[in-house]
Amino acid sequence: MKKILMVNPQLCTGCRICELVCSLSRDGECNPLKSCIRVLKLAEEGIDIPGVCQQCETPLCADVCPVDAISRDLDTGALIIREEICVGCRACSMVCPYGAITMDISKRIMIKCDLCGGDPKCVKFCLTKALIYDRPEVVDALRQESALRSLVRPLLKSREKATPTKEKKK
Amino acid sequence: MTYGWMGTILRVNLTNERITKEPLDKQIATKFLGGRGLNGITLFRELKAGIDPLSAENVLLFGMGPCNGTLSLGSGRYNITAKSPMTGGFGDSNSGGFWGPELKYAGYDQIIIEGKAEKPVYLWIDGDEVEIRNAEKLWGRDTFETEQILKEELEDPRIQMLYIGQAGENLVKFANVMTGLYRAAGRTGMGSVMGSKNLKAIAVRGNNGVQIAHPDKLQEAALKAYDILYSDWFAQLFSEEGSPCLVNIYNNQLGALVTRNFQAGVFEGAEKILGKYFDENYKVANKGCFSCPLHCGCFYMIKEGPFAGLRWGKAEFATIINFTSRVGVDNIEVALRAGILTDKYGIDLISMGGVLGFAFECYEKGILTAKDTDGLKLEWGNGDAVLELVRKVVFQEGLGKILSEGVKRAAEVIGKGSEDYAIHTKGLEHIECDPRGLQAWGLGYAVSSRGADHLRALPAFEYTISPEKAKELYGTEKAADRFSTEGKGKMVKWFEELRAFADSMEICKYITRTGLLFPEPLVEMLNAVTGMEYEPDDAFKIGERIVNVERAFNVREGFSRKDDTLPKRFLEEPLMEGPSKGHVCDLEPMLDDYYKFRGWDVKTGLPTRAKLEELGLSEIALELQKMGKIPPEKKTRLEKK
Amino acid sequence: MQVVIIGNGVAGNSVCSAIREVNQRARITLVSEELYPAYSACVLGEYLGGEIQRGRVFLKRIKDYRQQGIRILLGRRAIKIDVKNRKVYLEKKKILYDKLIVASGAESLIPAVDGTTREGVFSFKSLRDADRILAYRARRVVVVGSGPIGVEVSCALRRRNREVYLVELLDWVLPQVLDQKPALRVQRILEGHGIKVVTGEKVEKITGNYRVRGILTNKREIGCEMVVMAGGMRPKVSLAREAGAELGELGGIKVDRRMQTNLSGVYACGDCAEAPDPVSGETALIMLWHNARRQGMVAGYNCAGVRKEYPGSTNVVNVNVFEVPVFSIGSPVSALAGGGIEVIEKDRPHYYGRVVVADGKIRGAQFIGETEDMGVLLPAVRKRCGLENVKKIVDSPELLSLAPWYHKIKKYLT
Repeated sequence: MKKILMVNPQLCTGCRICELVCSLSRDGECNPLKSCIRVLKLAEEGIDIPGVCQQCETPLCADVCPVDAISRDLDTGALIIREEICVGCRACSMVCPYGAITMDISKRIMIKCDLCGGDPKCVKFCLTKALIYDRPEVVDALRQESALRSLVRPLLKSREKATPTKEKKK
Repeated sequence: MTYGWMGTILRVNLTNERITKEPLDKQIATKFLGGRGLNGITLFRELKAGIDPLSAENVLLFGMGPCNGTLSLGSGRYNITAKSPMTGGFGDSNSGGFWGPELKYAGYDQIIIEGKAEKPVYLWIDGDEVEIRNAEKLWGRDTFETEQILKEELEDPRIQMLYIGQAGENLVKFANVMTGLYRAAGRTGMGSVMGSKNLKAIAVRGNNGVQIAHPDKLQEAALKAYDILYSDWFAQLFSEEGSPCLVNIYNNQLGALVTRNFQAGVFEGAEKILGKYFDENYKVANKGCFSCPLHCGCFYMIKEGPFAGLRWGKAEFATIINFTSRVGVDNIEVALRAGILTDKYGIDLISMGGVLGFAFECYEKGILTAKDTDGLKLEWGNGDAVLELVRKVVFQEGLGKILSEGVKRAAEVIGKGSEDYAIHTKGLEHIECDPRGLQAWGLGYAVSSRGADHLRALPAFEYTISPEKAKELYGTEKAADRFSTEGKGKMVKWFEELRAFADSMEICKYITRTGLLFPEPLVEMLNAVTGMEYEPDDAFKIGERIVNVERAFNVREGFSRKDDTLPKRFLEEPLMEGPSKGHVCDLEPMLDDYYKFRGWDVKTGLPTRAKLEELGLSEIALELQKMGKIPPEKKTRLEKK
Repeated sequence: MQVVIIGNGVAGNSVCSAIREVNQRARITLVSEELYPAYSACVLGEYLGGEIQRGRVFLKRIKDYRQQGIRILLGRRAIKIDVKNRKVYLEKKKILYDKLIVASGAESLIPAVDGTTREGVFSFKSLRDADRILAYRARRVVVVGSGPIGVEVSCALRRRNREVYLVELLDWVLPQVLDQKPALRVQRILEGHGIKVVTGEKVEKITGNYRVRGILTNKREIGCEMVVMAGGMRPKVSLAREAGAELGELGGIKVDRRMQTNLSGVYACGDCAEAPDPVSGETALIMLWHNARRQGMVAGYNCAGVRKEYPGSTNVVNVNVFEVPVFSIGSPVSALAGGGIEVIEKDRPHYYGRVVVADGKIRGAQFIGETEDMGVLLPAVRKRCGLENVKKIVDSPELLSLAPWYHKIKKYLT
């Protein structure tokens, strides 16, 4: 099974290194607007959410592309926009539920995550592991575990309170 | 200048509403990099000596460095520079967040704000389009509301802003500039300079990128730097607990934690204000500034009790200490609530803590009584009084009006011997680290160009390196002994230069605090970004140049060796208990040592012509000569004979 | 297995791709009336306006068909289907089939007014139409009908410096796509670029002897050398109907969720087919590119033996009006019957947005200017989400962090 890129907003610190390394490796410049991954910041709540293409199984973007510029890379499973074909009509970006396709304003073509050919740079530079690139079953297991852990947290807390103070100090 | 720098300076005159764009002088950029360095030389050139910092004659500079907005580590900083209303000398302040990079993306390396607007305005920089807009509806709002209102008005979540709160509007001398809700450019009162210009906020949106000379090398350098950073135990601790982890270090290990306005160096109630305690009970998530792998910002929430649900994005070591041990409070929630207040009002919480400590001690000593405080009982540990006094200072009510000038001027007004409790250098309040337990820090405070300030030198090696390493770097093993004065002159010089260099690249000081301090990895990133070929030694040269420019600015304003000093308490009253028991800060020998290494006049503390010319600063030498601060060139005299 | 596909549009070609994904050995024959390999009808406007080269409209080259193992018969018309013997008759040729896919598309609806056969009257559906319009010398052009195609043609010809009149029978432009207020905004953009827009007028006659000299509406006469009829499309169904295929209420070939017609072994997909939408429970005839593509894939999989069902589709229309994107999903107010309609509107100098809510459910959205994050509304429109439910999610930080993409919806609902 092909690896997938998963986002865990709970671990995201909002540093936007992913945006920088994405545009840097694609275009040789640091420009969040040329990045295929974008961090949404809810500063008042302290929540940061990296938004990136989910490489949908039945992609709407490929459906609406009038020139068939979006196709699946068979090695990585990524949906790729072929630059030389794209006419920059924005149709794909308008139907993407994740807002993960944007326009490169200088080239007037659409850009989206291509998983860097199987070695996503954003994942490599994400130090908190808010971005994970692995096989679906591994990712699912991680997800499940973290969900269950958060369920069990109140229980652990109550036990801690029940522990005698002497032992606690040790 | 296609790589790193954007190549344009934005000049905004608020008096006549003229907006101009100037090219960035490449030679200046090469010599001073940007940020703090670029601002320093610009301030020196733009201002005349002796102007009133809160008049239209002062200029307000916002500087970015070549690495801002790039993958280079901690590249989210920006520098604000102006003549300081606190010290009357060189004022600057540095902050993280996301505003600096956005300004680079908008296409500018620096903003120069001149003059004074007639009515409250804000500046809206949308790439090339720059507009001065009416801000009357924002006036009187706190920083949180300002951000919400502007975001709604400009309708783009991507817009980054900085702004002042009520403190800046009311010209409280130590008002700060806030950005992105939680990040503060705190020190030296830049917020009141902004307020004096009737400038409420600067909102920025950019569409360009920063061009990188060597994209692959920059990625390599960044990965390498992450490794170096995290090989340091300190960085690991820091990334988990944020700067509150310092409470433990300063209190338990060093005994140099400000307690009751520096009456002691250890705090008996420290357990309830430890970083670990904060981490376990209040922290919700780690948050980082732009391009920062350290993410020391702790989003926290009070989960129980009458203030449950109160949440904020940043609590620093300084937030906690200034409202707890500095005023004898052992309830961390008082500090968290005060931290939110100071951020919303837009006021520097370090100076605030200094002011509070001063007022509380005056009350203890009977210099201030309940009559002076409108009935507030300023007794050590009274958390409610702390919060109320913060409000009084911001809105300048009663005693608050006197305190809003800072401790130096407040002591002059109050008199009655209160001067002894006014803990400041050059008019700026000290931070939370007691220099009696850290000699080099004492020297750093004394010689810093912006008054009592730990960040100009931040000589962290004083208590972290081995004697062998100390000998290698500073010529004596004693440099690693925090109670010794030996080698400290050289150490502070060494640190000051590296800090100035990093400040001009605009890299966060927490990243360069210990792990990434050495110039090699920094220069590697700088070169990858700019395509220039700086050598590690150039870092020291650039740093030294910046330190000299700032020194010259202060000399022009009348500062000299007599101002490079510390409060009497640090020099004469030994600490009574804790790991630093029995020590005072022995400043004078370190000062001699420092000036000697600096190549300055040991007697007066003024820079010499030889030093300035060696650094390529003859324009500055000439100006100081005109003022009679340095003697005319000898050669000319010989010719006259 | 022998598969015959009638139609070389996006539906027909998607059928090929789907079959080839699962079956390399099936013999596929593709019959096309047109002379060219597959091209994109969606970018003909850009080609007509000179924004892209002619070569870029093509999606395939002849050798691409060969590589896919598809026999292609260009410029050939299917004239009869013999369902009983599983044969398709072309002129002078017949082909046996196991599975037949009718993807014959749609044709321009030419209204019954006098003069539509004069020289200088064009429709705008195919590459050939575009080529002919480009080759025809005309200074003044009248475009009849202001649907997406009419607007596209008008913009393109205006870019070519022709004098353009856009005549619409109904009260505002893009009437099937936009409500009046956003439509007026689009009209202002069109007029700002020099297109003369005439609404609420009916074309009664095209004048001239051999060639076009002008048009007559119920209110005025406009002199012109060219008329482009853009009054709408209708599914091309005659071949299938004659073979006994059942038609739906909307005039398309009736198919089930697997794209099968009532005739055994015959599928239909794309603009000519009318399929049930599982969300609304009604049948829908959606003559849009993305729908044709999806239906083609479903038909292809099913005739190759892989069971797939058509998930239904939603109207998504995207028109580029002189670099200003205009975007509409779902239904405009005018298409919704009954009361309880609420509009959440944002009217700004450089941006217009409205979300249409009917009976508390999000049913449509229209945007002009910024359209980049619009896609987040598509699932909400598609699933007819309750406005209150969505608001509950976007107003709660906890739920938001679990379903982050909802955050982008927030700005449209407040």
